[in-house]
Amino acid sequence: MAVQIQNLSSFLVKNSAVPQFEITPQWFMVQRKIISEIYPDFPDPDTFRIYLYLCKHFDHSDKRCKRSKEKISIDLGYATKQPGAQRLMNYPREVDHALAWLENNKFIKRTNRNNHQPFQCEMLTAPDFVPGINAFIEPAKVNFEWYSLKDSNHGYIMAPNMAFDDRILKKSPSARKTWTDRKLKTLLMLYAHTWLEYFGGVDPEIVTVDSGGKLVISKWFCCNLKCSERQAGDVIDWFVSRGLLKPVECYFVQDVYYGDTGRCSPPAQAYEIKIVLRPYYLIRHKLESDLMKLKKGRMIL
Amino acid sequence: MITGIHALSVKSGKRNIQIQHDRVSQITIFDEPLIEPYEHTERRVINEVPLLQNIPMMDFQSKIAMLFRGPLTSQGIQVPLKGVFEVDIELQSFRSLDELPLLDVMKSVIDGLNNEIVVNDQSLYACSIGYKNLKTKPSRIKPSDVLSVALFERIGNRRRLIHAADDVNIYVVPKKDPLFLDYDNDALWSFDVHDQRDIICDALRADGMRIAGGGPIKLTLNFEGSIMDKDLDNMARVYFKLLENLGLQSRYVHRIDLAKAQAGKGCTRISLS
Repeated sequence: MAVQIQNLSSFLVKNSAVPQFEITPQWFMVQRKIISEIYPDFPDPDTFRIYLYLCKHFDHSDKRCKRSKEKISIDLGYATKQPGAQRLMNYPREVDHALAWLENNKFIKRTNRNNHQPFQCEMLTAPDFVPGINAFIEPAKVNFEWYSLKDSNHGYIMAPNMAFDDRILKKSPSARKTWTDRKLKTLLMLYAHTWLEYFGGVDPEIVTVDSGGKLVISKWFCCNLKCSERQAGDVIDWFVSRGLLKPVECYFVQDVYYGDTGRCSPPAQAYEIKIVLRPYYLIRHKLESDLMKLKKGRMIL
Repeated sequence: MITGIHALSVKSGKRNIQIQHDRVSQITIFDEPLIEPYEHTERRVINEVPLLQNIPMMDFQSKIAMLFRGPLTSQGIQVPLKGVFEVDIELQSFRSLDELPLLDVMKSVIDGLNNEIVVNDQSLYACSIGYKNLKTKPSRIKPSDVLSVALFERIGNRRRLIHAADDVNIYVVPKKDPLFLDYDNDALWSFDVHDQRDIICDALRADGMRIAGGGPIKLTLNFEGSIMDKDLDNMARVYFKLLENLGLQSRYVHRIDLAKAQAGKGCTRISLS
């Protein structure tokens, strides 16, 4: 059941003097493995969001996430400090539970030496899941570090920090209602397939919009999200309506992105025109790579 | 079907290659097995063309690795393993073979095991894959595919099961070519191997070898010679293409058995049944 984008033409990006996308320097890494048809979801919404929060605030240079339980609790709206109080009197149970679960299942390693020191942790390479024993197992000797992960084919997602602002990870009922697990997972997966130099946005084989405005979503993508095409479509439609994903009409030569139709002349070679979804938040260094030099000028940004 | 054996000799470069066939289903080529070059790495090195591997395929391969790494690690076994191995793959799917060409599925699975689970896929001496069509889809949100992969260590003439990932509901992604960023330079790169393959193919066709349509077909490929450092699946790719040029259609191939053995004289035995 395909989802139809209403008023597609009003959403299509047009060449404009005003910036159409937000280019941001900060990004963080999340392993692709955690969103898959053969990997269990986090046990509850708190653990999933706290994990993303930790990934986002992990400092790769000193391999630490120096966010105390108090900071986590306040940032994500689990607790507020009473006026005049030095610190939180109690840590919320959900935060304690989530951190304990992540530690027990080897997603993180505590690095504070004792309980008197504030909580801090190291992010570990996401464990393997073994269905037979229904347990997570730490893979030996793969550092949670780009090259190491890439070398051993542990794919990772590069997600702009701004797209996953702390606000959308909050505990508040309104944030949870708007930003469901499925929306967070879908947005992460869309970033996993965003390769500007090859596709000008999200790989059209994964999701594209046909000329009639219908969303065409790969079955593989839906399987990974453990949802139906209709459910994935509703979420993507919502992203489009909120401007978090923008449809752009692009030239493709041999399945590779050439430029935006609104920004450049058609290529000399045989080409196709496809509608690509380009995330609103783009990572700066992705646009400044050598591979992008030729294409950036042909891209509406 | 028993038919007469036809022998022919083909000139490839300075060598004469002896070939026997029965015009229908058996071919024996008395020569060192050809191997598909590592096209992508070669292209990358020669032309320095940046490329992007198909992400769903890479992802599928990393899942295959996880299905083995997890159980082995939990038993205290360190990966990657060294030794001589065999792999058996069974694929059941609601999808047809048009979407799941078996040789490409096999290659994808092997690539998933390579480096991570076994040190080098050259140490894989036999591999088989079978397909069964599922009449009903498992569920609306689950994959249409059910995959079983068993890894064996070969010890002498026997084999010992190392681990089997059975009946995994996983979305299978066959081997896909990567995308090349520079579409002007890399499009047509010709390899010597392909020329040699085509010479053999032309000679077989001229001598009356034809593969009839329809199926299901079981394909057996046995490679002999100096094959220690040759990948089974990359040798198979050459001969599968040769068979396709003689009329074989991938969608009718329900089972493939590959094996290689070290021998003084090179030989490739092809059999369809």
